[in-house]
Amino acid sequence: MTKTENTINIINVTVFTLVLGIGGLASLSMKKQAVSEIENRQLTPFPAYSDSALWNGNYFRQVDQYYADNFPLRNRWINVSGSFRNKFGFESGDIKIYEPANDAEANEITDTTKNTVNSGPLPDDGAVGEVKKRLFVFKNRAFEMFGGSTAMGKSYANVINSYNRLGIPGLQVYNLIIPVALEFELTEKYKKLQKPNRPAIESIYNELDSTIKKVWAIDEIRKHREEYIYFNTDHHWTSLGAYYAYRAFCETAGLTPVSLDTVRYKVKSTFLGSLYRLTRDPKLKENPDSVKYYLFRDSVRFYIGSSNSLTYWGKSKMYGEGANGSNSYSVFLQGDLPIVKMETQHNNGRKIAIVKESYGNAFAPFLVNNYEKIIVVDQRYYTGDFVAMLKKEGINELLFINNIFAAHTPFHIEKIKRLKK
Amino acid sequence: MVFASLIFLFLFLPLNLLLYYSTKNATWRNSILILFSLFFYGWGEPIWITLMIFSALVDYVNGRVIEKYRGTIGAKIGLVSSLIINLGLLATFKYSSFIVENVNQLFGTSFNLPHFALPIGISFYTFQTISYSVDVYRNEVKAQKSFLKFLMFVSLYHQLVAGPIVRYSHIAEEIDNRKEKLADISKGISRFCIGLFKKVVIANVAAELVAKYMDADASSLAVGGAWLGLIMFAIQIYFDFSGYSDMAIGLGWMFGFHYHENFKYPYTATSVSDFWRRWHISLGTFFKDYVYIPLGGNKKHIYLNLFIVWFLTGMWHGASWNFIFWGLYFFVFIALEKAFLLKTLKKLPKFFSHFYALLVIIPGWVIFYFTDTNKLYAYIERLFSFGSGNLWNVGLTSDLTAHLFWFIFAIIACMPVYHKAKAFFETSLKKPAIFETAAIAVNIVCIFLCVAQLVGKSYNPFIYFRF
Repeated sequence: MTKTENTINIINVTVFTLVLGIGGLASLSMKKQAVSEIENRQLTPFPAYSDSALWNGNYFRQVDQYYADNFPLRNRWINVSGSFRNKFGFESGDIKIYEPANDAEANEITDTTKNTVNSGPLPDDGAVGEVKKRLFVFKNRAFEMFGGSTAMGKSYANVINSYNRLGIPGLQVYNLIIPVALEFELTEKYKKLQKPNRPAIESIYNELDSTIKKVWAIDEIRKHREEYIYFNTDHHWTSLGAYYAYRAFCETAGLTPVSLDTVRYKVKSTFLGSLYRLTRDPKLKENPDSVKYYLFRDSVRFYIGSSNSLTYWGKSKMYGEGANGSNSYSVFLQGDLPIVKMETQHNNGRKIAIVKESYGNAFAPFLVNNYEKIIVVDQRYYTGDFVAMLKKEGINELLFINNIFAAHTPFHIEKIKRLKK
Repeated sequence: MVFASLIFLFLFLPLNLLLYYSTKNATWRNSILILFSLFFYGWGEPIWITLMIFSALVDYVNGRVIEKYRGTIGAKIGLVSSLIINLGLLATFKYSSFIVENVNQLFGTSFNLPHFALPIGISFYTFQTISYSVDVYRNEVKAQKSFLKFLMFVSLYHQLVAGPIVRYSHIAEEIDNRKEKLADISKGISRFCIGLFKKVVIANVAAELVAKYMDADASSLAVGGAWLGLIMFAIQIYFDFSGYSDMAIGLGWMFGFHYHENFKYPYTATSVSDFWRRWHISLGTFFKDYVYIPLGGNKKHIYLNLFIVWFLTGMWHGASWNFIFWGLYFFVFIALEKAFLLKTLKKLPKFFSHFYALLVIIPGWVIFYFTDTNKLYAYIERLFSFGSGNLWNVGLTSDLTAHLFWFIFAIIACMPVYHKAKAFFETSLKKPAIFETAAIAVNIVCIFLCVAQLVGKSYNPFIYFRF
């Protein structure tokens, strides 16, 4: 072998060992984080040792995850990966379809430690447990594509019915299903990409007991489709979108909705939400959202409750004003807590409990204009005695408010069912 | 543990290399390899280390028995016991459920289906040790006297979980007497990086599209979508498996071993027979040397021999009828080729043979993919429902264009570009140094891009893993 070849070999081996060696040392010595801001989830902690976990391989699997999750310069690597992927091809026409390959959020199903009250709002994880959704990015907005089955919708309706048939005297049950943004944006060209929402909602409402009041929020929202009712980069609706649903709800419930003309508000700007996190599409980055939240005149006493106690209520505020950046949606109700309570000065005897996932957060604040008491229960996290809580708080109205995906996802349907224990 | 993981790249491998080369003592080096290999294997499924060590012990003993009692009945006992135990292990852990299910179907019985977990790599290491026993019996190789060395052969993490099926006879000399050369280590590094890239950047990306289309409800797909999914699977499985073999071979070179090639650009094949001389070569040669030729090869009842070999080849891939059908699918074409087709193809331009080969091989993957016969039929139906009116849709265009450059790259990577480039620099330009230097840069780029992909991605499947 020639001298040149020998030198090249030496360089090759040296570079390779240095790269791996330095990377390895860095990974062992750099500080570990607990939460990833840009992925909006808790990073895998180092697993606790147990013999069973060792033998079935779970221990090592988690160590693998822990190592990957805490790898140095993780965020930079993710950005590189995203840019690299974008170079794999080009966009045809205006749209780009994404199939999120990694439902890492779904792995958070077991995390119910959200009872701890800390100073800041909790990260919004509205995507927990939902059916893997196809997304598409059109111009500079991202949309989820709905595709749930009628059978699943019927399953959801049955669970709601079971609450209606619990025999709690004087309890009025409502159901409000929220459509996805794409429902109002479809041109003929893209119509086939998703299942139409209204027939799916209608199918569910037809399965519900006649005594359950159905809220046709979708029709009210549709009238305002030109307005900023859904986020561009996040799967949630804006408070304006929630407002129109609130208007529809008031009509069904026999209430007068507050008029937004008279309400003050604040705005959190540069919000890049979940759909940006999932797709990392550069067009979305250039079109960030802003989160508007309304400051009603009503005096609201806001409390955070606990799954473990029917009597514990810790004072807090309705809005988590510390939320910002990709967490901005958590401004509503301090994020996804298992149970919160709002009491107002309206002594009209109307006391409502809302069962929701994260969409309900933007909706619930509007009710302080009309109700004496509002309890908001997150179907994913509340593990207390739901029925006992209803009775203790004297609840006479029960609203199930879910986005159309959740209403077709076994995970959510099960969670709602299990509230009853 | 898998090669394409951050822990392997940044902790396991550097530590292994460091410790291995920190000593000149051969026994220490072998011991280090064993320790790391057991740790590697135990990382995935600690409980099955015992089975693997047991299998190694059984054949270590058998090997010595065969040699000691050579020429007498003792040797035969050693061989038969090796076969029975190894095949028995395979039958129990991999095929028992399948066997019982079929017995129930055939005889109307209703035995309970046994549910054994499948130990990783059992299909590989049992075949490796069987080949050892047979080779010792045939006096093609001397029995290994050191259990340590034999255990190293069986457990070596380079090829334990996903092949190639390394024959003892191929590396007997190296087991006893390795000569680690700098040039080999350098080559091994480059080979490893290429394999890693194939797996992480090509196979894993293809896998996402495969999941999207082939795991969907077949009736909801456009015909074009069904084909796209299938082609993506053809890409995934090749780059996954050959990438893994590349990494295994590269790792071998880093430690002084020279495993035989397992893939030779199979998608450039000019016939089905040619394909099987290029795909998973270590398996094909195993069946040739240990089943086909002992049965009589092409000297007596060739078609029966071929049938048996392809039945077994299919079955090796999985305990399910679709894998057997996949094997027999190739039997049909290989039999036809041996009968007359090859002669006909030789008269045609190479392009036709090549086109014919791909036409058989690519669609064949659909039989391999679905273990559920209903899903299989539904998908095949979709592939050919040209009259359904649902041929293409907007989502497909989007997927295709979003991956177009990557797709073109993958197709080119199926061809011997690397070798042609290398040969160009070596023989035409007479400046191999340029190529070698470029390789260093390519290695770093590969690692860089693969690390980016691996960080935060838990989607890292390996298809041949459950074998």
